[in-house]
Amino acid sequence: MLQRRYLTYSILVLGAVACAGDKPVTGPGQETLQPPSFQTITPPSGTVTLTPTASNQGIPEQTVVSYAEQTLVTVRATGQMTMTNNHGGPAGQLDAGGSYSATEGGCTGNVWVAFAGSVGFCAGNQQPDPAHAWTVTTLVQGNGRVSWIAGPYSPENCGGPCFTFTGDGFTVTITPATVDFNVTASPTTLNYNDSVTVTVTVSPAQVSGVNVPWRIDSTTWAPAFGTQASPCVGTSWVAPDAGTRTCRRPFGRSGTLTVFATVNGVKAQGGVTITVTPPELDVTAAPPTIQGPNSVTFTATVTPSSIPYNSWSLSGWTWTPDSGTGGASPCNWNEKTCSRMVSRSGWMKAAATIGGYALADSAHVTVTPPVFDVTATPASIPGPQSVTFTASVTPSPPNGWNLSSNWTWRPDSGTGGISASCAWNEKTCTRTVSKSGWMKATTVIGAYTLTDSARVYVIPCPTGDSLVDREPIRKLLPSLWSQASPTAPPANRVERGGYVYDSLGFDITVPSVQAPGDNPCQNANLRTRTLPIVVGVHVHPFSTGDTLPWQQCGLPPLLPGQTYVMGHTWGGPSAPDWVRSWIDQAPHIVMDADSIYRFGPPDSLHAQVNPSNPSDTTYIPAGNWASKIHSYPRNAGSCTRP
Amino acid sequence: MTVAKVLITTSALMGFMISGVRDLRPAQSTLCWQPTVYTEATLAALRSYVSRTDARTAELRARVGLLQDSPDSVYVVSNEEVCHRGAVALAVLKGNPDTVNLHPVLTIKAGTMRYVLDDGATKGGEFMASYVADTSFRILGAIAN
Repeated sequence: MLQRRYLTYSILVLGAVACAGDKPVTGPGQETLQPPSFQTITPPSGTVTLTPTASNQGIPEQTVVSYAEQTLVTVRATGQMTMTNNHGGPAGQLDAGGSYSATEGGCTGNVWVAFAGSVGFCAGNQQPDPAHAWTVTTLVQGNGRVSWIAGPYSPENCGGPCFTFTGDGFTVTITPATVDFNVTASPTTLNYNDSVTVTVTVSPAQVSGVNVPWRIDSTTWAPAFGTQASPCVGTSWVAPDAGTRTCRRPFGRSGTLTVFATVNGVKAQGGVTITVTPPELDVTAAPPTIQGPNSVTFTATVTPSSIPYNSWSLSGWTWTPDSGTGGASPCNWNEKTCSRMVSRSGWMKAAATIGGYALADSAHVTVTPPVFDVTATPASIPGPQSVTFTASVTPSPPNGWNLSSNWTWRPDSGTGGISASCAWNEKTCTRTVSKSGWMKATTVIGAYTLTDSARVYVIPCPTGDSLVDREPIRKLLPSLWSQASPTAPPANRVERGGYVYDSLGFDITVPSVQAPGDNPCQNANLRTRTLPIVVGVHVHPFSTGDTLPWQQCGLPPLLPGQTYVMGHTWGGPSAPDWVRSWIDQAPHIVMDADSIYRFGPPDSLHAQVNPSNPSDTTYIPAGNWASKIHSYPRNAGSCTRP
Repeated sequence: MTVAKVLITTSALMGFMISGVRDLRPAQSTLCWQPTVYTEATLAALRSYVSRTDARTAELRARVGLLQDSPDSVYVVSNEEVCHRGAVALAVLKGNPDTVNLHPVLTIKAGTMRYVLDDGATKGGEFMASYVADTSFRILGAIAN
């Protein structure tokens, strides 16, 4: 009877689960593949007791055990019989080896054990015969037959038995070697096509110096999907020693490998479950984000990197835009790296079949809109004159671009104001403009419809200073000047100010509120926005040389007839005006009754300590501040600015 | 704009300061205050007021008491005795009866017959004032810059 001890390993349970969906695979003998990888092989044993009674009466042979395959067994015979001669006297002891007879040329009265050939037992022919254990370990096959040979031989004619026996008889035991059979694999978890060493061991490999007979009959391989030949076949196995067989092969799929063997005459099987991490297909896009249409390089690679580059091919590429259609052409199937012009956001997908695995991966390309910019030069003109309008796309699409329609001119009031319209195929267009207005252009770049406009401002008496002539400033200055009451008595005038901020490219004009301390000689002009400053603006409602109202300005009193007059040590602005420009790190504009001053920021400030009060510090512009101021007369010929 | 409204603090600005050595000199060592940056700017402006011939500048001179003269006639005074007289004149102007413990003043000869005195401490609104005096150090008027 086969006795198997099943050991349960969790990995084998997993292996069984992995195979559950497939047709059951059976091994030799139609045994279901439910491997333990480890078994104790215990062939059948046999035992018999022979109890002879007289020397002339042998015990016929009988089959005690049978082995179909070669089996390593230990045969042992124990027991002694007490002999009595035919005179009733004691005749000694008889063991399983019986008695050697030179006349007979062999033993008589002995236990005989044989399979295909004789196993034993026979006493030695040298006297005195030493004590024997009557045990032998040997390979056997076939029926194990046991008998007792009549004897001991006596040359006398005893007229019956020469000896009679008493005792418990001779016990013969035939015990096969018990061996462990084990199947292991290393590693059991691996990347695609990594090599695994499957090891089959029998232990012990020898008993009493005799090798345990065993062989691998076959292997079966149950992959997790599809069908595959077993990686380990007959010629795959090598034998580093008597008790070991190994097979080292790459594995491309998960599955269960079962080894069928005959171990010490017994059919045995063991299995290992291999878990293979499938290969991966990776697709990348470089760069993954582009501004406007541009070339993108797509690359398909597989992991693990041990997969040879030329051992796999793509089945194809597909391009799917996020919206709409088009945007890129797919790469060719035989290109693992390719560059394509991409004009819309979308996905580039590649597919491949490697080792039976259907693989796919995608890379996304984001196309952000390019910057479409329309400019007018000059943007401010004193009257009808040529203005050049320019449309640009940044970055410029590699394959070029065009406007999608003609330019659109919209005057501030009425109609006209431009000599002729600009056509769609003119990215730069020069026309005579005679009214303030907007010129608009539109283009379609990839998925984006882009529109921008440029302002042309017709101003009287431009200064030529791009900041002073800026439309919001030219509108803010007269407003502040009017609020300053410049024609009122000096004591009733007040400085007024404001800021122009940059809000995403648009000018935001913010006049400051009139603070409690504002007077003819000062104005808080608080910065109320965190937006970038285009320019800070305020007005001095006096001319150079005008008498200042010392009481309102907070100056020390003078005697009658003496006056404070307005000077211009700092070029028109005051020292604190320069300081404010430095703090803002932005230009400022001051306008008085005579001039418009654009100045700052200065290179640096200088801390000047009051010589009569060291704790009082006044800051004044330093460095080459005088080069940072430009003044424009408010009355230029027939013009009055602003 | 006024200094007070510039909304900066001394401590904040100290971190930004780039130029120069402070020009404070101990009062007891000299009464001729000559701060570098400020002196240069004031001197340049005074030369303009004194020497220019346009009507607006002439009107400024008339209002403040300056006389037309050559640019070379405008220069910084380093004579302690002259500076002392200037310091006394400003002390008196500001109602300070102590003409012994005086503060330094920037003293500029502004033409043959005039001086301009600046104590660096006279402010009104966003402007700082310099005073015009005759050779007797009688105050004639002031210029606010």
